[in-house]
Amino acid sequence: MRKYLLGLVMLSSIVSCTTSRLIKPLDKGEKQIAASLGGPLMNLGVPVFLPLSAINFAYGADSNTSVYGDIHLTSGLFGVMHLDAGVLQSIYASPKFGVTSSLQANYMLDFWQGQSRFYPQLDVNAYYNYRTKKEHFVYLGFTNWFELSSTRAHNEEQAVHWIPAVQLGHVWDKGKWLHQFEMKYLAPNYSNQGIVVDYISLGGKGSLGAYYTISRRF
Amino acid sequence: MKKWFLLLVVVSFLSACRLDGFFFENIELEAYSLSAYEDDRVPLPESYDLSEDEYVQIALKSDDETLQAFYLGDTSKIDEDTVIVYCHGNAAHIDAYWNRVLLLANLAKKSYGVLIIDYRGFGMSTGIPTEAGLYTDIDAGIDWLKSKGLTNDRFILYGFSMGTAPACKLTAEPRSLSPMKLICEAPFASAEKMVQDATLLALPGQYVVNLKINNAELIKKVQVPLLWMHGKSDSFLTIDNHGEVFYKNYNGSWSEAYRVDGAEHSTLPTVMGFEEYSKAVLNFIRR
Repeated sequence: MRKYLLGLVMLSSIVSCTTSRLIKPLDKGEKQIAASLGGPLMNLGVPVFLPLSAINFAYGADSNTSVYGDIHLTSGLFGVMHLDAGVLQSIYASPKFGVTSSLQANYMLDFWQGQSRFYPQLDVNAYYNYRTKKEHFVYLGFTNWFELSSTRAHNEEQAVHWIPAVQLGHVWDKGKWLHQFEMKYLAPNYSNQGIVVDYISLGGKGSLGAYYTISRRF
Repeated sequence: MKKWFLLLVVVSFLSACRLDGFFFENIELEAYSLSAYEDDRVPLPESYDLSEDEYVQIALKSDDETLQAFYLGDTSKIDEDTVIVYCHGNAAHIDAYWNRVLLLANLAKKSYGVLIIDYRGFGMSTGIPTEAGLYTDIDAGIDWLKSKGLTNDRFILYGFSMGTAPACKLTAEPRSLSPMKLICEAPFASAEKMVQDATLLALPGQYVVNLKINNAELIKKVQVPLLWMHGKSDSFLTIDNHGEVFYKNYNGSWSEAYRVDGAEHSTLPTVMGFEEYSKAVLNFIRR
């Protein structure tokens, strides 16, 4: 049964614990493809992150706006098609500092009974180019998932409608290639007690996550 | 055509990854240890032990599988004794539950027979665990009891944790026999509830599992008396998320509930105290 819950936690990371792949808008007409790997950290004797993966495509609509989409590979392994699409908008930009937000639609459809779910997501990130020449940057941001259903199994009230996360990341800009590491604190406002899985977290709430993304610009 | 074939292969591959297998923590055995098993969560005093002539190991056929089971009591008196069929949890095998069935076998100075069965793939039983197998395997044991003379009015089903699934299923939708009473210790509400608790989201259960187990719905059909026991400190299947959801859906003739302070998922008889626990079960059976 404990292994089972471990698997369930895997699911939780499938649906809501992906990395923030696009932080800064692309240049107009620029394209980017990215692959990401990572997930919540758990204590299995040693800290282990769950190996969740996704492929991301992004396109610079103009210098302030990019559009993107993801195919989530790990959820596909569970028979659930999970796609998302979003728009990233620059809110403020200076040579060294900037703020962006992205509005994202997550759609899931299972191959078994064809049940679908839709989850809107809103991210806000602030970045800082600490080495302008190379354009490496660090970023800090918030992710917000929204559950729209009012009921859950057995006609119980769905009490949780907002699942936030805080992320802190670093991007190494190697020109065409970018390497991105991110740490995330998932659902920091919800207790992780009462679940047998040993999350690595702070104060018995939520879960920490670790992610790596490699991107190629065209 | 090749593209469609490729797509079919990809979809088949994708669809193969489910978490159903994680539900079963079965361990295969070459021989049972019973009282000598060292990992039992219910450490009983030796006074509860049975002598070797007070129980018997039996083999049962279920579909094409051979199941191993133990009957604690006198098989020649099944046609007159009250018998408890104990549906064990998802961990390991019969050894891990031996002390629990010893407790039941010692009720009222060994007045009741107790049958415990290793589901397919557990312990020395052949096969691979499945949800359908849980129901078929327990019913195979019930059918054996029926062949020995057991009748509905002397038949009690007891489920612990995962074992509440076959216990509820075979009470709500009886096959070989229909139990006169149902006992559920630390039941879970449903597979979907487990998914939703773990994710915080109202996700369909089949996003991860094909399991259809839904005790909270099945219990609505149960009309026979119910004894529900759940540890208030159960951190695995919490009493609020699972036990209470299950219990509030019971609409049968009468019920008793024990919400046990300090009891974890596997420690209810120990925390409650063996005498108190035995008294609670005995009172329910006798009432």
